Amino acid sequence: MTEARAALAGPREAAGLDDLETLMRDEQRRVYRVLLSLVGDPDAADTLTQDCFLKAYQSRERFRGECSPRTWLLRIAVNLARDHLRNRRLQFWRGLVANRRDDAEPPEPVHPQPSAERALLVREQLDKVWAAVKSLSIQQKAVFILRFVEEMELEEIAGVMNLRMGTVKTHLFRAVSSIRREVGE
Amino acid sequence: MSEMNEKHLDETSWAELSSGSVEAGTKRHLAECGPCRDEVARWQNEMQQAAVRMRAQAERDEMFWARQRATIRARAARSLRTMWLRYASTALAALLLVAVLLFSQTPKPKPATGDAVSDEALLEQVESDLNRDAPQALLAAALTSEQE
Repeated sequence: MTEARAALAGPREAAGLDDLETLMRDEQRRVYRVLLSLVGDPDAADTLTQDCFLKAYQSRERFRGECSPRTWLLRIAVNLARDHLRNRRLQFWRGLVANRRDDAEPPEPVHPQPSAERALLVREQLDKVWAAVKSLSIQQKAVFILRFVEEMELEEIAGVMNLRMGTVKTHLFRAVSSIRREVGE
Repeated sequence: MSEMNEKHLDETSWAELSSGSVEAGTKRHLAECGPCRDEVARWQNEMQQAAVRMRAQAERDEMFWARQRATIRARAARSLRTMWLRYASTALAALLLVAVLLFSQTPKPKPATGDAVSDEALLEQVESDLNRDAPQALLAAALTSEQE
């Protein structure tokens, strides 16, 4: 366990934030992954990850240690993604963005499948899941990703999203229903 | 097939399964109902695959992470410099403002001491004029008539 991890676990988590380097090493992959899943654009996810750590660093004195630095970082990340998507939507409607590239194209499957036919079926099914996830609202998407990709408990998700447990459950319920409906079609 | 099996998992049960807090009724149903069990297994498998895919999509080489950390460090240092610069310029502006306020309050010119003396002189003059028999304008004529 690294020093930052130890700091994350204890009540004196604020000390963990002082060590920006250790915190980055421990959390940058997770923050980037969540942001990439939310915004679907690798370049934007990179910039937002930087913004996230910078924001955490600049406002570290306001961190009261009521939650873990990881939860706090992910909360900043989700808020940044929300703002980014809102701005992007605005830009789209204003017609300011031309020829925007769609980086959310799903990559190749990670694990090779036994047969080409099977691989194709799996890929098609995952494409459907991915498309369904993309169509979710930012709140539902964030809850879904934190639950299934980051495997976080609902309580922790509530902390990240700054929502009540009931609201998190509702978002998850709607996300799962929507995905099941779209994948089943 | 029992009565339980006739009613398959509803959306609420799926939400339970997704949140990880499965109620006893749902567990019982899954134990008895093969199609639902298969459906849940298929769903869980799909979600696992989707998660693996999403994680894989975010995989980058060590160079990427090192470059990202270096950029964050540089931006943090720059923001620190900017912050100090902002503090310094604010302090300087405040000092300048105080200085301007202080120097703009120019003292009122003191009345010249000569005026006070002339007031007294004027008073004495008035007093001597009052005591005089003839007004000052006719003083020469009075002197002439006295000589005659």
